[in-house]
Amino acid sequence: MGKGIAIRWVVALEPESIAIRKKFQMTRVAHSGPYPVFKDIADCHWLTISGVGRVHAAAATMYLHQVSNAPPWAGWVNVGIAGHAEGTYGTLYLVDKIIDKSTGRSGYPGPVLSSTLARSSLMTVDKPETNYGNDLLFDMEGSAIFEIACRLSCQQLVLVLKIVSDGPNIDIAELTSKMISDLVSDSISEIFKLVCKIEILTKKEHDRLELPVAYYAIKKKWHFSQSQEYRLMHLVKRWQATAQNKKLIPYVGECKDAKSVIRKLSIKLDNHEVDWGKG
Amino acid sequence: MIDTIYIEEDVRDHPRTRSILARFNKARHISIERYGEVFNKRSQNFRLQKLKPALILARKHAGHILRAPEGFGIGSRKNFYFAHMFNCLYDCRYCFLQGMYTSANYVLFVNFESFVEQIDNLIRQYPNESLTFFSGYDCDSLALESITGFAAHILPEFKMFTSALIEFRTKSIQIQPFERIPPIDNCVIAFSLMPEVMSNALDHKAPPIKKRIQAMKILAEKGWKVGPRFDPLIHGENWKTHYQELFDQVFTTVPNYAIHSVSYGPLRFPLAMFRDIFKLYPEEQLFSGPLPQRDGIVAYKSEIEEEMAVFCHNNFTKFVSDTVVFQCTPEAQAIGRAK
Repeated sequence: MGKGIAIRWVVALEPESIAIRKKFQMTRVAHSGPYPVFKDIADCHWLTISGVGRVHAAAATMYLHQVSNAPPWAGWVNVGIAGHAEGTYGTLYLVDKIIDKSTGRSGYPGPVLSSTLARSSLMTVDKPETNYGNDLLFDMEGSAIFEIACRLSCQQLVLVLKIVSDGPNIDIAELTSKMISDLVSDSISEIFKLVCKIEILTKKEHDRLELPVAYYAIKKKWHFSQSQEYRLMHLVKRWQATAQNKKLIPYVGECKDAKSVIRKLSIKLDNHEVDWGKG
Repeated sequence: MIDTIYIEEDVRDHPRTRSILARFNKARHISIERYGEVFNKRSQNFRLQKLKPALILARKHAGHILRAPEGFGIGSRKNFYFAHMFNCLYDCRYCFLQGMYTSANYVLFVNFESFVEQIDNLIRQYPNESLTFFSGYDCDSLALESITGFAAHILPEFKMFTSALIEFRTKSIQIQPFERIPPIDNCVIAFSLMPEVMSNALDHKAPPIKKRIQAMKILAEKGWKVGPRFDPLIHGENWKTHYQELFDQVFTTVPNYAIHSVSYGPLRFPLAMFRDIFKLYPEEQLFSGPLPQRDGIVAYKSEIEEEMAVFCHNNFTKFVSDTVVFQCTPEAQAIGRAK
């Protein structure tokens, strides 16, 4: 169950995490690290709470990557509250442009998911922003999480979701933990729908990137040098593409060493003719 | 359906931008400074992005027209290529674009006038030479014509450039821009073709081969010059039978008098590009076959390439004159002369 699904959540505040942890039945992972970490029973969903600000957000993202042994096909999701000049309190936005105020750099979470969610640009600032303007969302972590998560996975698997919590008519200082927790809780079904779509993409990426079982079986039986391992990996993938994967192990079973495995596979594949009519 | 459009600030008020934005009024518009900040980011996943590409409207500042590689041509001494777009609506598995760009988003350069100006400059620079300009190198020339209107813009302009030839390379059957105006002598509409069984497996989202041949026939009957293009040649079981059927179909459907040229070329990738493409699509059958690497190029074994080239050339010359058959490789013409 859940093979290939890998989602990593990063939130800034503990109340932002409550509804997510509940939804995925996450429990705390025992550890002594700098950021609390939670995971679900299937090890598919992991979550960390970074604390406020870009430095913590970047560090916690990296930390979660290490602690959870996140694969390169993992989807990364940042959910959090944000300020907005005109947005209605409680509106959930899918962020598609992130401006880092301190560096002036922009990032573009490129949505490849179909979604009816409202979309907006986000500006990540270093101090709470009360000068709302320019039809932007304001937060203090988004740019850092996005930048690091893109390095760990890819832009198309990073989701930044913000819920309007404050604005010209809602004072940020009056927000309580309960209000923050409720904001996420009220949007959890929308968030869940989107994350289900990301799960499908992570599964696809898993299937693309995960090395075939046969590769490990062969590596276990014979000793391969590093360059031979690379060649083997390429050959096994080619073999798989020919739809003969079930026959691979017996095919090389009699080989006496790694070199002869590679030679035998190379000869076979270099003479393979694709049957295009097979459909 | 395009639901995200990135717009360079510099072209926000360009009439072509405004007209495109008006057509996609429900799309989300995102301002950018230069297209590279979205398009060239390294952390993108081409394969995932291909599920839902965005459109980027930009200005081409330099390098509008480039020299075609040696051995690439259809008769002219000097060959150039240009692309008013990067990337393509289709998702052909052998396409080099998937290894060349990190993004599958479509970039459209809206300043079409600059392309025409540069073409004009080159024609003036070489007044006594025949020049050919190839459109559709980094994109399909016509696939997004209903949005871009590029062919409709450039065709009347090219009518004035009588000493130059323009080729529109396409798999699209959107031939309306050519149906609306009288044929232009110095224009070739070139259709990429391969046997149907191969196309079904490799030309994702592209029109079926039969429809492409039909489109060629319609254009030919209207007086346009057309060019069947068999590039890349794909190997596999019974390839001769498949190709023979395709050639018979093409040359018995499309009137011979309308065929400007026939070209063919091998499947080849620079090694680094092949590695990127293979990483994107490891399950693809095309890459499981006999594609060794030699001198930094991944291609079919030379004996396969040669056998396919000879087979094609011999077949083409049953239908058209040897003088209009071109092999697009650095070793161009060698086979034509030898056989």
